[in-house]
This record gives sequence, C-alpha cells and structure tokens, in this order.
Amino acid sequence: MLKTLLKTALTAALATTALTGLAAAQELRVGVQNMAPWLDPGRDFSNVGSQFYFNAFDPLIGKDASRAESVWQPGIATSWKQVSPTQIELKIRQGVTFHNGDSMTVEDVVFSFDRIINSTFPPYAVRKRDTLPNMAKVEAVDAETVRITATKPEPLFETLLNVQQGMIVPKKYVMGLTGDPNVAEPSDFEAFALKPVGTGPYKITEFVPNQKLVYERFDGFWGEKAPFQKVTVQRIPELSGRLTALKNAEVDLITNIPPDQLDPIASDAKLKVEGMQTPLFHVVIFNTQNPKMANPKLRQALSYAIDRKTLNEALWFGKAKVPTSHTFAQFGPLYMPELDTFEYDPAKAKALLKEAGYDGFPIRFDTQAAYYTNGLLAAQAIQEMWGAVGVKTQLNVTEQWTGSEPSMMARNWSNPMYFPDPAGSFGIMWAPTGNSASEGRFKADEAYSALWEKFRYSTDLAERKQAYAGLMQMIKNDPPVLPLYQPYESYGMKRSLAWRPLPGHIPYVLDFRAGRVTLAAR
Amino acid sequence: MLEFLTGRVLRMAITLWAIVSVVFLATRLTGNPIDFLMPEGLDAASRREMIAYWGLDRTVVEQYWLFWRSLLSGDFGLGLMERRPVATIFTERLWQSASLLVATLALTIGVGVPAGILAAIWRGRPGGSGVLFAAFLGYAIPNFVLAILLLLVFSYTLHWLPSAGSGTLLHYVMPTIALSAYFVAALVRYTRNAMLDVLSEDYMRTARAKGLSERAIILEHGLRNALIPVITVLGLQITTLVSGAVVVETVFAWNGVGDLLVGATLKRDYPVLQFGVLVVASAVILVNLAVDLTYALVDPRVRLAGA
Repeated sequence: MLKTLLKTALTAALATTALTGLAAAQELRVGVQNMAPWLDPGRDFSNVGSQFYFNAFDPLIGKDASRAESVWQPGIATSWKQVSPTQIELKIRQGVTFHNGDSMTVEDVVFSFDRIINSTFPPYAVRKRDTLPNMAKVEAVDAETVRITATKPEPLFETLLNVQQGMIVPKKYVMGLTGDPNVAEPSDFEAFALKPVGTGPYKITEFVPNQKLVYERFDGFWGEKAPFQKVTVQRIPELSGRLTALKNAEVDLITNIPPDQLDPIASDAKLKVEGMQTPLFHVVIFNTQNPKMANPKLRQALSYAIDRKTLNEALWFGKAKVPTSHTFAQFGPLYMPELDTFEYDPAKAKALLKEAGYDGFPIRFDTQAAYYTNGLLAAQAIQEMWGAVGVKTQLNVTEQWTGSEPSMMARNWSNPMYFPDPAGSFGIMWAPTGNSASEGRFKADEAYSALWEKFRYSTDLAERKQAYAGLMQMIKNDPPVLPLYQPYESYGMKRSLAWRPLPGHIPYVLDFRAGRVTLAAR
Repeated sequence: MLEFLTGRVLRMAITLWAIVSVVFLATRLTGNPIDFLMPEGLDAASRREMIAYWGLDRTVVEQYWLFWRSLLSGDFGLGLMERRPVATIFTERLWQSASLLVATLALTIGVGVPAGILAAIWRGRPGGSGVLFAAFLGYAIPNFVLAILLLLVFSYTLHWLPSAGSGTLLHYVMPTIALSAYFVAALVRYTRNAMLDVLSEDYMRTARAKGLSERAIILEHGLRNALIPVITVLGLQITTLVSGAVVVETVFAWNGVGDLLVGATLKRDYPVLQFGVLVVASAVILVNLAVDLTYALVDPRVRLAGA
C-alpha cells in the first residue's frame, strides 16, 4: 500500500517536471546570487542592480554589446549631432511605447535626465555627481528633437548618453504614482523603484525586492522582439544551492561561480561554463596622506613587490587578466596597455625600500573577509610577498570600510568600469575631485589637476590620449593604487542555452535581448 | 490569573525594551549602513547626502527617541535597503517562515513523541536502542550539514526534489526534515526519559492492578503526566528553531524571516533589524507565556501565581 502510494506521488512529481521541461524553451529561469532591493536605472550604481536593467530599459544611444570597443547604434534616439563642443541634438524615435501603454515623447526624455541633473532627491543628486557632472541642461527643441547642453566641452556625449543612469523612464507614470500627479515627489521615485516601467523588450511583471524578478516579453517593443515569453530570475544566495538548482534543472543559468568551483559544471555533459574577464579591477590602495605612507618610494616598493602573475595563477587559475596600466580593452582608442604603469620587480622594491629608509614598521593592510572573491587570500599572499622584500604586514580583517580613515595605510578595493572611458573607471575613483580625493587618502597636485582637465574635457582624441599617459606616469611615480587583476566572472548553464556575458556591457549585465540568447527546445 | 497575566505583560514590555535597545545601540556601534549598501565609489559629499537621506545624520540619542516615538504611533519606518515599510517587508517573509515552522513543528511532534514513547516501552530491547541511536544521529548532525547532504542526495544526484525556493509542497520536504532532525531527536530523548520516570510511578502500578489495558495505561496515565517536561522543552525549542531556520533558509533559498534578518544585520539595515527583533522577541516571549498556560491545562496542580 505504502509502496503504491509512494510510486503514485513520484510519478505525479515527475510528470510535473516533464511538463515544465516542455515549456522551457519559452521560459528562461535564472538563479542569481543577489537580487536588487529596488530597481531604478537612474539612481543605481550597484553590481547587483546593473544585472537587470538592460532587458527592460533603453538608453538614448545604443551600443553593439558584442564588441569591447564602443560602436554606437541608434537607441531611443535615431540620430544625433554634436552642434558645438558643449551641445548635442538628438532626434527621438517616434512610436515608442512604455510597458504601461503610454507612448514615449520628448517630454519623457527631458524628464528622465532632468530628474537626475536637477534633482533634490539625494539618490539622484549622487548620480549626477559621479556620472553626469558636466550635464547642465536638457530641453525639448520640438516634438522630435532634444538638446543637451554641457557646462564644459564634452568629448563623451555618446558614452554618457549610453549609460544605464540615462535610460528613459515614463514621466506621467512616475509623477502619478503618489501625491500630486503633476509633481515629481521623492515618494514617486521611491514607488517607481518598486514598480519600474521602461521601453525595453521585456516588461517587469513581478518584482519582489531582494527575492525575485519576472520579465515578460513586451509585444509593443520598438525593436526586435524578445526571444523568451518569460524570464524568471530567482535569488539563490548559496553557491551550493545555485549549483544544485542548475544540476536539478530547476534553473537554466546561474551566476557568480568562483574559479575553483567550476568542475562540477564543466564535468557534466548537460552543462557548461561561460565566462569573461570583467571590466573591473580588484586593486590595492595606499593612503598617500598617512604620514607613515607619505614617501612615494615606499609605495612604489610595495607595488613592485607584488607578483600579480602568481596571484592570477594561484587564485584564478590564470583566467583573470593582469593589467599593465589602469586601462580596459573597452576604452577603444584610449586602451593603452603599452604604458607599463605597474610592474613586478622585487629587486627594485628592495632598493627603493632602502632609499626610502623603511625601518621595519608594520604596514596595516585592511580587507573584508568575504566581500571580494579571493580578496582575503590575495591579501594573505600579498603579506607574504611584502615579507619577501622585508616589509612587515599586519592583516586587519574588518567588515568596516576604512577607506576614509586617516589611519588606513593599505587595503583592498575595486575599481569597476562604470562607462567605457578612463573617465568612467579611473576617473570616478582618482579624478582630483573623485572618490579617493574626497575621502582624503589621495591628493591631486596642480600639475595632476591641470592634466586631468585636459584629459577629461579636450575634444581632441590625441590630446586626451597624451594627457592620460601623463596621468599614468604620475600614478607610477607616486602610486596611490595598484590594479591587481580583472577577475574572471563565470556563469553555469545548460548546454542547450546559447548565452555568454558580453564585453560591450558594464560588468554583470544579464543581456537576454534578441540575438543574445537562445535555448534549444528539448 | 489576571494578576499573573498583568505581571507577565509588564515583564514582557521591559524585556522587549531592553532587547530592542541593545540591538539599536549594538548595530550602530559596529558599522555604518552606507559602507555595506554603497561600498564602491561614493565621494564624501554624496556619502553625507545619502546618510542624511536615511536619517542617520542625527545623533544616536535623537534617532533613539524618534524610533520609539514613531514606533508607539504605529509607524515602523522604511527599510534602508528596500525603501518599503518594514512591516510590509517583514509580513511578506513572515508567512514563508511561519509555514515552514508549522511544518517543522508538526513533523517534530508527530515523530518525536511517538518515537520517544516507543523508546521508553522498548527499553533495553533492540528496537529501543535503534530509536535512541537514530535520535543520537539527529541530535549530533548540524542542520546545515544535513541540509547540504539532503540537497546532494535528493536534488543534485537523484533529481527527486526541488532545491531552491518555496513554490510547491515538494519544496517543503527537505527544509522541514533538515530543520526538524535536531528537534525530533531532542524530543525523543526527553519524551523517553519523562515516560520512564512516569512508568515507574506507583499510580502506574495501580492502573495496571485496576486491570486497565496497556494502551490506556500508557496514553491516559503515562503520556499525560510525562507531557509537562516535554512541553517545557518544546517551548524552549521553538525559540531555537527560529535561529536554526536562518541557516536552513539560506541553503534552500527560502525567502524567510531568518534570511531577512541576517541580511539586515550584515548590511546594518537598522529599521528592518529593529522591527524584526521586536517581532521575533515578542513571539518568543509569547511562546513562553503559552507554555506556562499549557502547564495549567495539562496539570491542574500548577497554580498561576503573580510574577
């Protein structure tokens, strides 16, 4: 009796699984390590959030994501023309519809940028400061044209109009969410982040913060229709949970697999691994303003003493990329690996330590226990490498961000690429008014600041290149940072799924648009 | 009875105040949410602006005062991570945890008590030793190890059970077993010991002498008397269950209260944490109260005196 009962239950369970399997080609199921707590492309800067926007939102100017260098494509704007060094005019695509049925107009475009560059809502004001500081005014010229004015000459209009923060949102919908429907109140923006609406190929039909996200194909999309009727993204925080869900065919794709855990997937004939060197650096930073660390020769020595190639071999199985300078292939013409800003030379390190008169005082190296993949291991290895040239290191494992503490000496951190230009990665962190300077661990002198201005705002490419090379030389002479490597980000998936992370996106984007993914029916 | 309840409620209020105050201060002393919510690339001015946006630019004393003032007016505030009312965030998770808790309790009592009785009756026989051995195993294995083992066998290898989330009844199987194992084992041992004590009592001999059936003796006279210590233990276990759920929820991607509170602790999401601790602490205190009241029901000799 019990046997029969068990058999029946099992058969029923199996039948359900089989049925789900049949429908699978219409649905893509994804298991992610982290789900966003809210979704608004305009105010988001996080690695977690950036996974999800590209499927549901469009920027003004599009980009060929399959290529590392920037190849611009029409997006919400069909064409554009820089009319002066500080002005660009864009023709706005007609007939675009938001997921809620509203048709998109130039008003929405103006609103989307205005909410950030003229905002009193702190989460947007913060984004203006780091991403769009040079944007002064956005206005509608006529029903099809928008004009954007910058304060200083802007060589990066296309780049900046492609960023996630500039994706277009519906004005009327946002303002109508709470309170007065004719005023954009902070509560409207908070409400939007829980019920986001865009113009992209998928609409967000269910969003449970920190838990789950469901996209459905948006039939009113202006471009090529989405390949899946439905995409379900579920948070599975534990690695073992994600691996099991993939093996058990509960999901088709999983994210965030550390390099030493690829075997269970790679050894399964039904599964495979795809990965990419992410446009993000894990770095070591020095507090140049701490009197103990003030001597550039000491910091040069610490930098020369770190064997990054060995770190890559040992921690990333050689899959990460050790950079020669603070530069990414995504920078196109500004990609300058030839600069050789950072090198390994223990003999030079020893000599420099002697010149610097290092007397054996311990260097405190701060690291979080588990924030960066391999972060603690790298810190321990660096401790050994510094030990090999005679530097005493005191590892300080803490959950606190110590980057703004005057007592900080060295610590790990990351420098992601927020947009594909040195200004969008090196600049965010190391501009004269960037993060590091504002936190007091880095100070730009006049020469550095002048060179930075030239690099950032010159509209002559050759001049920008030359200025960046000059900045890198200054960093080499007086180092505040050492990029260790670009980590290798791996994804596990069914063999029948054709998907991979693309080099043309910022880190972690899950691109499920047409032409980017297919799942063969079983 | 009334005197008893008033005393209890007063004590409960003081306990809650103390617990929430400790959480309030401890989390503020050990880190700032901005380091956890926005770890990369925020300049100093933006940092200040975001801290003000979350209302964390006020002094701790001011925050403490505001917290109690809004709490007493029924406003629990917005989460720092999820900008939603914390009551909404919590309720959403609560039923997920509660359903798992009920399933676990049902399994614990349904298996633990009968197995404990059997172990007592079969004392000194292979059956009894078998039950005890199984209980020993269940007691010894940490729930996260059992959870991973279950995953490995039933999802990873056999593909019989779903591993992540809480969509269907099948999703309940492994988390419930992983959570119950320890409590079943504990209950088996306590029930067995309590039964053995009771079985050697004089009134049991009397009952036998009266000619009652063995079944009536065990269930009517034995179990009823053995239940008091068992209920105490069960009450204590429910509170342990809440903390045990934290790990199990994470392993099975179960979006429950435990997972929420751990996340809130790691990210220093004060409003969520304070509200969560308040609710969980209240629940624990209420369970203890319920245990005390149950004593009276089971054993009329227990008098409910004032605290």
